[in-house]
Formats: sequence, C-alpha cells, structure tokens
Amino acid sequence: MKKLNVALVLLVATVICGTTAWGADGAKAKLSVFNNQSQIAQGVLEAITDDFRKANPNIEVDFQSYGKDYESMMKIKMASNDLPDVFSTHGWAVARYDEYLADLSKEAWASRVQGSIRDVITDKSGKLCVLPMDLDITGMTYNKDIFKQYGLKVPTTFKELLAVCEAIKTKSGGKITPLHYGGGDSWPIGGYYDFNSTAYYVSSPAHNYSAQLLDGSFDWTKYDEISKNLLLLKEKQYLNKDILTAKYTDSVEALAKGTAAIGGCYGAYIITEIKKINPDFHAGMMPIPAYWDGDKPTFIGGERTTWGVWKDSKYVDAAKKYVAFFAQTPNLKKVSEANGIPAGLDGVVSNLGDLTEDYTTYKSAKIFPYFDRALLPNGMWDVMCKNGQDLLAGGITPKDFSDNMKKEYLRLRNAK
Amino acid sequence: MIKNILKASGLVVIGLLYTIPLYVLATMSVKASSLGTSLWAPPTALYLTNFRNAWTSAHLSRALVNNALITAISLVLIVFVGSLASYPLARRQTKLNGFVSALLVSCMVVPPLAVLVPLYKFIVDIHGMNTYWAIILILVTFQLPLCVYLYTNFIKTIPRELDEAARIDGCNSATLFFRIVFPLLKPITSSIVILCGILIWNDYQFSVFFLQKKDVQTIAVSLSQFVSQYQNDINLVAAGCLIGIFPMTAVYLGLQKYFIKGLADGAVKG
Amino acid sequence: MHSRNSRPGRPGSRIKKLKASVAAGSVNVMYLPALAFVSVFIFYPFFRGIYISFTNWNGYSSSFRFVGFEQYLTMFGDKNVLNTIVNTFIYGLGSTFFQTVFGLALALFLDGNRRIKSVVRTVVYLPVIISPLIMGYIWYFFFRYNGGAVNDILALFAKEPVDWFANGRRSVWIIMLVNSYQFVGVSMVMFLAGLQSIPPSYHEAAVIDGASPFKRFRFVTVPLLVPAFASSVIFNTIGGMKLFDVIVATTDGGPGYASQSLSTMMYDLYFSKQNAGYAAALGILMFAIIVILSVMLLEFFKRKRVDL
Repeated sequence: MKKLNVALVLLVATVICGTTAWGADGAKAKLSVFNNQSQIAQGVLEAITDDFRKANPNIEVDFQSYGKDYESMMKIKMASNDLPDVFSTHGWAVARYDEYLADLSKEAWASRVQGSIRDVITDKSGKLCVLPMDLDITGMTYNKDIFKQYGLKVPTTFKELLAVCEAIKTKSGGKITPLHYGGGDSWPIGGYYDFNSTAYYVSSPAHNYSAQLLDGSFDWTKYDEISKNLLLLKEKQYLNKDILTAKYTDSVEALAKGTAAIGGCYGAYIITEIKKINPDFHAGMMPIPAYWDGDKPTFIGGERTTWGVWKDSKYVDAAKKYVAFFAQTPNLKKVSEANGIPAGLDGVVSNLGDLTEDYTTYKSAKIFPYFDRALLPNGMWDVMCKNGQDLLAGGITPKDFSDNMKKEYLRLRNAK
Repeated sequence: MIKNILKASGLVVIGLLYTIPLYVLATMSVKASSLGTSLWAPPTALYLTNFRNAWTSAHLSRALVNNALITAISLVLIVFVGSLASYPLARRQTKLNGFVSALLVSCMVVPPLAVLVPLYKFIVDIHGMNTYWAIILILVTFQLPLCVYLYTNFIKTIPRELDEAARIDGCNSATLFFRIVFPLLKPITSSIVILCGILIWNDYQFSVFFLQKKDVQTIAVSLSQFVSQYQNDINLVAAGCLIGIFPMTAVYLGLQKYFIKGLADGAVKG
Repeated sequence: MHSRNSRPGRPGSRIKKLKASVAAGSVNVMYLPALAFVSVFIFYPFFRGIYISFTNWNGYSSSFRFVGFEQYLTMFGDKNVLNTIVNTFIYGLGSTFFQTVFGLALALFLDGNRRIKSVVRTVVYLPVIISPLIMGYIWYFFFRYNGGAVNDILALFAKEPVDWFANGRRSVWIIMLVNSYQFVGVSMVMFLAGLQSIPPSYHEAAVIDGASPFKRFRFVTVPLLVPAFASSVIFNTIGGMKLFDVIVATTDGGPGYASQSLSTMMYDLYFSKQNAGYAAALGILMFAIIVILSVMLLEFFKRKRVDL
C-alpha cells in the first residue's frame, strides 16, 4: 500500500508542478491576438504584426486566425471571461462585445475616426469600442465585362434585377449563372436575407418597420415576401444549381472564371480573391436594388476590420500599443486596400482599384447598417442562414420561415 | 477455378475500395492546381511545393511535437490509473464496487459536447488554458471509462489462484498488483495503448477549444484552421491532410501486427 | 494494510486473512484516482450541464434566469429535434448495421494466413487510424458538385452532375455510409478475433455430423461469435450516436438542419443560436437515449452469450 501512496503523491505532485512549470508567465508582455478575417486580409494583418514584432522586441505576439470557429470560440471565451488581449469584433463591437472592451477614445488616433462609423462603434456611455481599420460599404460585386458584353445596365430595382438575370441566362445560353451564392457555407444565404431585408422593410419610407422591429410589434407574416422571392429566383434558374453546397470559395472561382455574373451578397473583399485566380477580372459593385416603387437602391455598411482591446487584459498598454501600430497611415492603407474599401480613419488615401469609379458613382447612395445587427436581437443571424438553406432545400415554406423567425425573435428578445 | 478467380477479384475490389480515397488525396496533393482536371487523373508532374507550403503554413512541425508529447503522457497516465482502478473492481465484486464500476463505465456514453461549456469555464478558472497538463487530464479522463472496462474484463479472466498464491508468498496489494498482475496485463495494455492512442492522437473536439495557441496546438487543430483558411486551394489542403495522416499511418504500417492483434484482444476479451 | 513480511503459520489461515483483507475493502483505494478524474472532468461539468438546462442562459453573458422545465417542454414540439433524433438513430444504428454485416463478411472472407489476405486486412483497417475530420474532408472532395470525384465518373457516362449534399435525406445516408466505411475495420477485426478463438474441433465435429456449410455457420460460428457481435454493436452504436467530426467536415449539418446529429445540433445551439440552456437540455436527452440504448443492448447480448 505504501508504494501505492507514494505513486499517488508523485502523480499529484507531477500535476501540481506541471501547473507552475508550464503555466508560468515571463516578464515579457505576451499578447494574444485573435482575428477572423478572410485569407488575404489575414495575410496583411499578419505581415503588419510581423513589423510590430520587429519594432517591439519586448512584446511577444501570438497571432491566431480562425475561420468559422471564431464566433464559437469567442462565445466560450466570453462565458469564462477569458478573452484575447486584442481581437476582431466582426460587426458586433457594441451589441455583443461592449462589456468586454476597453475604452479607446483617449488614444491618439481616436480623433481621426471617420464620422460615418464613429456612432456605429461608440456605445451609449460614449466609449469608443474598437479601432475601425476600414469602412464597410457592401453591395453586390459583379463582373463588369459580362454586363458590357450583353449591354446590360446595373439594376436599381428588384424588377430590373429579374430582367437582368433573365437576359444573362438566355443570352449566355444558360452557361452563365446570373446570381451566385455560396449557400453551403450558409452565411451567404444569411447575406441574401440581411441585405434585402433593408430594401424590403427599412429603406422605403412607406414600408419602414424599424420601430416595430425594435419594439417587438412587427407583423412577421410580412416576412414571407422575401422568402417567396428567393424561391422565385431559384425557380427561374437565376441562382447557381449547387446553391445548397457551394462554398464561398466556389463563388470566388465561378466569378473568376466568368461562369457567374453577380456575387449574390459579396462585398469588395471578394475582389482581391477573385483577382488571385483571374488578374484580368473587371470588378464592379452595385448597391442592393430597391424593392418598393419609388425607393432607391441601398448599400449596407458598418464595421468590418476592427481591433478591440480586452478591458481586463494583463497587458492593456501593450495591447493599445499594438492597436495604435495598425492605426498608422501606411498600415491602414494596406488593410483597406486588401479589402477594397475605404480606410476607417481620416487622412488615408487608399487605392481602391476597380471600385474607385463605383464609389464615386454611388457617392449619394444611402448606407444602412446591417439589418440584423441594428434591428434584430443578437443571435438571429444563424436563424436566417439555416432556415434559408432549409427553405431552398424544400424543407420548409416561406410561411414556416417567418414563423421560425418570429419564434426565435421573441425568445431572444425575452432572453435579454 | 472460377471460385478462385472470384475470390481474387473480390480481394482486389476490396483493396481498391480502400485505397481510392488515399489515391485521390495523394494525386490532389501533388498537382499545382485542379482547375479543369479530374480528381482521378494521375498528376502529369510532381508539384511538391504544396507540401512545403502546407508544412510551414499549418505549423505542422510544432504540432507534431505537441501531438507526440500529449499522446505519450496521456497514455502513461491512462494505463497507470486505469489498470490500478480495475484491479479492485474485478476482484472484489461487492455492491459498492459494482456501482463504482457501472459509474465509471457509464461515462463512456456522456456526449463530450454536453460537458464542454462548463468544462471550459472550469479549465479557465484553474488556469489550464493552453497548457499541456489540462488537455492531457481531460483526454485521459474521457478515455478512462473504456480503459477501465477493458482492464476489468481482462483481469476477471486471470485465475484468482494466482493472486492468492502470491499473497501466500507475502505480497501486499500494491506489490501484488505491480509485480504479479500488471505484467500479465501486457496484451490488453497494448490494446489500450493502441485504441486510446488513436483516439487521443486524432482528438479534435477538445483540443480545438483548449489549445488555442500555436505553441501547444496539435495536428488536428492546426490542420482545421489551415483548411478553413485555404479552402479555395484544395491541392494545398490535400497536401496538408496527407502530412497530417502520415505519422499515424507510418506507425500503423510499421506495427500493424500489434495493432490488429491488440485491438482484437481488446474486443474479444472485453 | 498488509504486512510485507511473511509470517509463520498455516497456509489455510493466511488465505482466510487474505480473504478478510480483500473483503475489508482497503484495496478499493486503488480506484480512487480514476474516480477523482471522472468526478472532476465528467461528473462535475455534467451536473452543471443539468443545472444549465433549467435556465435560459445564452452561453456567455453573466445574467440568466431559471425557466424550470421549459427547455424540455419546447423540445417535444420542436420539429428539428425530432428530425435530428431520427438522423442520430440513422447515424448510430445504420452505421452499426453496415459495420456489423460488412465487418462479419470481410472477416469471413479475409480470415486466413495468405499474405494477400493480410495485406487487404491491413488496407481495410487503415482508415480507422485516420482522423475522422480529415476523412470527412476527403469525402467532401468526392461528393462536391463542381469537380467532385463522383460527378467526374457520372460525366464519363454523360450523366448530369448531381449535387449530392443538397438533399438532406441523401446527405444523412452518405454521411452514415462514410462513417461505416471508415470504421468497418473495427468490426472486422473484432470478428476475426472471434473466428480465431473458435476451436477447429467444433467445426470438425459438425462436419462429422454431416452439417452443411450454412448450418455450420448458423449453429457453430454465429453462437460463438456473440461476444464479437456484442462488442461490434455496442461500440459502433455509441460511436455512431455521438457522430460529429464527419458531419462538420462534409455538410456542417445542412442544408438547413437536415443532416444534423444531436452533437452538431447542440454545437449549433450553444454557439450560433445562443441557446445554451436548450443545448444543455438536448445534451441530457442525448445522454438518456444513449444510456437506455446501451443498457438494452447489453441485456440482449448477456442473454445470448455462449461460453466456450
């Protein structure tokens, strides 16, 4: 028995010693940085991080990139109040991460934050939550050459969009998919709902239900229409055949090879990826067509590439230093150009390539915040994505879709 | 004669069925791009850059060391704690021990996801994030039920007279266990090492949450991040996957006799 | 505590002493470390999970409230839960069926000492050691719509490409088959071991009695393979019911919720739907289903068991 006791003591000792030997931190500041950017932007962020490491040898940076696991990871981290020192907030700086973020309004760069985004990333108490490296302006990215070839004009209404799709389908003899969605990844389907919801239920003064959506009185039967039109697009064969299994990367490939004309809900970030496959691609960006008569097309905007600092970080100063490094003009320029959208701070002149023209053309178009972030309770995004897939797969009807939206909407509202 | 031909072709068909996925993976991994070519088409040239890129981008050298370290220490602990626990459970079949045994074995059916979030919170509280010891303790725990189950059943097949003879020679429980019983457990121990070794080596469900720093990440975690990052370059992804399965495959092919025998012993005795 | 020094005395009395000491239970100390492990890392979080299932916790915020049995009641009216349970059974029992049937067939076919047979055995067992996640990625390359290996074959016969994972029911079956394919080697090895443990004399005796090959299989081989059947069925059922990695790598539970298992649904509820309370309740349900199923199977095989 004695030997056994000795063995047990040894076991316990190993575990405890292990704790101190492996878990100890050195004197150096060690930053843990999490981001969920797409491949190209990620590369740029990592390159800038490398420069930062060189400039600050006493700060160690552990730079981590996550794909679709990012949100799950962050939720567990929030649940256990153990966040990375610096992290991307992917559109949720205020709505989800506010209570975990340090105030950045005292930073030297804070005064340069562009006016249009300042409100989006400032919470009720006036706290500046993140560094906005760029400004999201998202519509639908399309292939300008195909439009030129068939003599098509950019559609401004849903009816015009249907006509454009019909023209592309017939003129190409079915070879070119008018609208491409990487629905297998589910978020592009969510994109369809999110972007079009603004046109259906917000942007037209006669059909603006913002107040009802916020106070909970929205009549969800109205939501059938957006689903019915998704099925209409499918029925008319304007969507890619493999919409239920194609990934985002398949959309990139289809657009690059010219087998698809319009990227259903992809912003400028997709262009850099398309050009990696086809450098001669001529990209255009159109606003989301209006749905109601008399309304104008809209862009969707908000935060995109951001850095927030965890307020309870052991190394808040080092973290702020890291963020300030990204706020330097040349670095912001790199990030904004990688995503093909304007920089988030004043005084940065980015070369936005193909889109420079479009940004000028649509200068007066109205930019709305993401529908789900602004008007729905936190957690509805996934409901739109998954139910949208279900709808396209024939599992549910537009009415079921609306019912499911209503159910989850009420649950999430009450959970608050 | 016809029977033999049928048999031979049967063998070939089965063999092919099980090599095809690896063939496709291998051809994909040595092609520069798969645009326009069939996955079945043999490569026209060997494009080995994929392997080098995958090796560095997925941080596989570090991951390999981590995997080896985590698997080795976990296995030692599993064998030690598991065999130790099984001895009284097999030998002393009281009501209490029957209950303990059932309790331990029933853990086999606890879905890992059902405990993930509370477990995560707990690991953070005890400062176990991104440490080897935390993931090792968790992996050991979730393999223990199977291990105890196999050991208990195996010990039951060892004649009691052996213990009793040893006792008469003056051994106490611990000496008896380590000197007499444990050496007899060799066959089942090798089964357990192989079975649990595979599961721990390939673990993804736990590692992805508890190993969030590159320094400590294992192959499955590094690779899944790599795949989501380079999804549009399936040839590069294939190269990464191929490297990922290589170490285990090499060990398996080298020691296949023990693998199959070990598993068989575990299955039948269990 | 037992003395290490041997004392004089009759062997008979020592045996009595030994029996007394084992009966005294001090030997039970040996399982305390194992109990400690599972208590800390399984029981504690498991019971916390039960606690969470009675709340409406969203999975990360610090505030939540108790909702009693509400989560459990919602479960009964939830169409997705029903469909997911059906899927989970297809994954669990379907894989078990295929693995057991094909595992047995492969074992019978590949039993023997010929070199070629041992090579094929090695190859069939190979996927077992490959990470299910990577296996899922490989099969995803096969069933892709664009440039997938299976559609390439259809193209050879001038057939239209099929979007394999676009149909939920079909996806479920494909995933089940992928899982069976990967782990059929486990069952095969179990049956091979079972076959090799049957003394040749049993078969010889049956031959002398004039039994046909089928009768020998039915009345000699099968009854003696009961332990192998039991292992194959129980291990594969539990493994299949917990299926996760392959689904994540192929359909991610889609389209919609059509190919979800209870594991992926829980994951989705926890992390995407912010419905940790519901996810926890589902975890309890899944636990209950697996426990009941395992107990039933164990009882079934206990009765069938024939000792050599």
